Order: sequence, then structure tokens, then C-alpha cells
Amino acid sequence: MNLVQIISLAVFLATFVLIVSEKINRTVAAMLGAMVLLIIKIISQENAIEFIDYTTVGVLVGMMIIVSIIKRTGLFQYLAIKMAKLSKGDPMKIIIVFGIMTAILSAFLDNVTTILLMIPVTLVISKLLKINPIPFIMVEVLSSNIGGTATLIGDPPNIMIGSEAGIGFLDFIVNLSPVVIIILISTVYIMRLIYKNDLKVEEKLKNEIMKLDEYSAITDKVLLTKSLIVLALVILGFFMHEHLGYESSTIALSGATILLLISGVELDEILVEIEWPTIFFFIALFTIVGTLEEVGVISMMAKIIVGFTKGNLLLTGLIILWASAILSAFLDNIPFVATMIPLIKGMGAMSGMNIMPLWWALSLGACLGGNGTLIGASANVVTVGIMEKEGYKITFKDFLRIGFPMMILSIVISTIYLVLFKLH
Amino acid sequence: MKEINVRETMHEMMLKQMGGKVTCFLGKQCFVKFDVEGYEISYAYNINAKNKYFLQRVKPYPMIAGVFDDLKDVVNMIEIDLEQFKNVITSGKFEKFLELNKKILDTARNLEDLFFYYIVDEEMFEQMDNVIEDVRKRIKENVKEDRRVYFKKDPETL
Repeated sequence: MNLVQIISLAVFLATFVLIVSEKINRTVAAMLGAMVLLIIKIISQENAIEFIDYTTVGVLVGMMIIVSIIKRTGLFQYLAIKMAKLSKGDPMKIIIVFGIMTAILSAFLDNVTTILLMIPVTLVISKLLKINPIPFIMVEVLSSNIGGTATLIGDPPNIMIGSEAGIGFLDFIVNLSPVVIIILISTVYIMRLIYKNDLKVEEKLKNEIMKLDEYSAITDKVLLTKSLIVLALVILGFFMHEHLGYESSTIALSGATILLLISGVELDEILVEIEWPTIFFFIALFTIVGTLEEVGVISMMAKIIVGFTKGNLLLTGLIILWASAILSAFLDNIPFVATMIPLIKGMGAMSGMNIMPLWWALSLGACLGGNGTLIGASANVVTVGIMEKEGYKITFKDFLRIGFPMMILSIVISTIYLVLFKLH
Repeated sequence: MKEINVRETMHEMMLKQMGGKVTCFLGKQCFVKFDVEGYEISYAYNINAKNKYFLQRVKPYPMIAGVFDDLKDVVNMIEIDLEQFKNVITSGKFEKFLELNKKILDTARNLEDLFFYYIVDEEMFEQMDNVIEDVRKRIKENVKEDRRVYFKKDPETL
């Protein structure tokens, strides 16, 4: 290892420690690491710009704009109230319906965005039912991480994997959605069993839900129509983007631009709702991991792993799945996946093995692993923070008790799926 | 920001279910505080892109100062209000004025509670009206040009 490699690795590890320790904001930590690499001239400005994956950034920004506009129409509130009424106000049914609804929304929207859309409605419904909202919220947060695993745009690790490995939207659906559906159904039903004693309410309280008017949630019918047309075109575009020869970011940003043009909503009001810290976090991380790749640290690590697994696909796949899951339960999965992507590419180049199944192992491990602990996924942290402000404390232990076994179950199901259908 | 958005959505949903039409502005809430001879004079107003600025005096007693189309008018209003308070404070009768004002505000609340919580006789309603009219008459009787001390702006209600 030469001096440049040692310094690059040291900056990477120091950044990782700062992110994990949460002593400073994760975006500031990543920016600090990237700036150090630029200031000490390990990489040039031009290199740093080249390392940024604009597909990932474009999909994130585009989808955030689209969701921010759709949110104004009241569509998500309408859907939640409608679902609660279709469940006849019965919490035992609502918990399942909301879990599935969260997972479906999360497959097309960012997990944090989905959970932020679901929490307010869930709190109001729990208030009306006079029950503790935590069972619903726990199911929703786990479902958002599960649902996000199914598609290219559902979770940032998938956006990164899709972009860097050249895997399309349809490939993700075909390869991951069957196992995700099985995991989702198992999780939701087991969670209902766990919380069944907390979900009993009097009949008159169920009637309170039936009195809710879902139509009053819709604020702007014209904007809703426009938004639904654009959303349908965007989803169609995602399904066909490989066929049409467009990057997924082109689809998301085109949809966002058209919606901005026809919605008449103030641009400032929309842009302010974009999660800029997340966007800058990605940009800085791409710079750091790109540097590791450029100076040859990633290929060294790939050589070590290939030497250990002897190029055995099954062993490599299972190690990636389980290691990603356990590490993602305790670490931020975004920097982990950002590091793993060039590593897997390097392993493929060295051993000549078919690395496609390894991408599915990485995606399943990194996305589902987030359910293991309170700090495993951004959606968990955001949910717990908001719930605490609303007077419902979910401790690390509370989350671990439910989340970790459910995460292990999902990884066991994924293992069976990968062994049977992919890793051979 | 995330927590604010969640709370906004939650409250919006509850208010909509009550039949309200909810409009939320993106803006900033500002508080301004002055210290005049040991008395706190404070105001709250919002800044947004819709050219609607709601100004409210918070202390020494709350009062809606109005809705303005221009932020300059908000500053102007605060400037005048502050000058008038300075005049009253230096007059040496401020404590008495505060006491009287508090009584009037409390009376308004009492009246509201009376009408909201109890059945009120028509006769009682008449009596109240007479007393209040008497107080207003007494106030107006004191308005004489030679006793006026502030001229930058004319009184709005007298």
C-alpha cells in the first residue's frame, strides 16, 4: 500500500467513524472527508466531479419534486382514509392495509418520504380509535424499508446499484418483487399477531373512522388530475427507460419539470422541500468512494475477498447478503453500498464470475438490514424522532425487540430465494 | 422541518375533517422585542411571499395590529406603536393604564364565557350594553384637541 492509498483509506475510515458516531451531522461529516481529499490534492476538482453519480442524484431530486407537488393535492390522505374506511375502522385490518399501502408507496417513493406521508394520517386515526399508534407505526416503518427493496427507485441503495451496475427498473421488479412480497406478507401478519392485544377497540370508536370524509382531503382536483397523469407517465417511463435508451434520472427529472411547468406551484415552495442534506451526502460520498477506487484501494480489497471466497458464487452471495444485512442494521447503508458497488465490480473483473446475483444479494441485504435496529435506516430514525415529539417514545431496545427478529426472518427468506433461484 | 411538516399535515387533516378550508403559507415567523424603561414591548409578525403580513402585539398586552400588504407598513406600525408606548410610559400613569386595560380584556373574556356557557336574559344583555356604551361615551368625552400629545398618526377609533 502506498502513501496515497493509506491517506485515502484513513480519510474514508475517519469519515465513516464520524457518520456512525453521529457526533456531527452525517452530511457535514461526508463533506468534510471529501474536502480533505480535495485540499490535500489526493484528487483533483475534475476527478471529484466525475465521481458523482448524477443518475442517483437525478432520481432523488426528480422524485422529491414530484412527491412534493402530489402531496399538495391531498391524494395520500385520501388514500389512507379510504383504506381505513374499507377496513371498517377495524384496527386489526387497518394494520395490514396500512402496512401494504406503505410498502407499495415506498416502492415508488423514497422510504422517508413515504413514512412522513403515513405518520400524520396514522396518528389522527389512532387518536380517533383511542389506541396507541406504535403498532401501526412499527408496521409502517418496517414495511417502508421492505417495499423500497422491490424497485430501482424505492431505496437509495437500489438507485445506486441500478445506476452503477446498469440494471433497469424492470430487472429490479422481476428479480426482487417476488421475494419482497413474501417478506412483506409474512412481516405484516406476524406483526399483527404480536400487537393483537393492543388493537382492540369498542365498536362506537370504529364508527368514528367511518364518519371521516376522504373527499375533504382532496384540496385541488385540477392539480390532482395533472399530477396523476404525470406520475403515470413517469412510472411508465421507468418501466420502459432501458428500451427507450434513457437513464432513470432523465425520466424522474422530466416528470418533475413537466409537473413544475403545468402545476403553477411556486418553484421556491417546492425546492425548499427537497432533502438537500441527503443530496449533498450522496455527492460527498461519491467523491470519497470514487477516490478509493481511483487510487486502487477498492481493487486491493476485491482481491482479498476473491482470494477468500475462491470465486465461489454461492459463498460470495451469502456473505454479501448476511454481511450487508448485519452491517446495515447498525451502519448507514448508503456509504456501505457506495463502497460495495466498486468492490463487487472489481471482484467480477478479477474472478470472471457472473456478478448479477451479487447485486440482488447486496440490495436485499442493505435494504432489509435497515429494519434490524432503530439506527439501521433513515426512515426508522425519522419516525422515532417524530413519535417522541408526539409523546410516544420508542427506545432502541423497543425497536430492536421487534425489528431485529423481523429483519432476520426477511434475510432467511432472502437466503432461500437466492439459493433456489439466483446463486447457482 | 420534517416534524413541522408532519404536524402541519396532521392538523390540516383534522381541521379539514371539521369542515375547514386550510391554507398554509410558506413563510417565516418573526418576534421583535423592545425594552422601554424596564417594560417589555413585543410583537409577532410573519413574512411570506403572498404579500399578507399579520402583525400582532404580544406584550404588554396582546392586540391584533392588522394585516398589511407591505412589510414597510409593518415596520412603520411598530415604530408608531413603540413611540406611543414610550410616551405613555414616561407619563407615569402606565401602570394604571395597564391595570385598566387588563380589566377590559378580562371583562371581554368574562362576557364571552357568560354567553358561551349560560343562558343570558334579554334584560341582562340590555344592561351590559348600556354600561359599555357609558364607558365608550366617557372615553370620547375626554378627546379634546388641546389635550392631544401624539400627532404623527390620527387615532383609528376616536
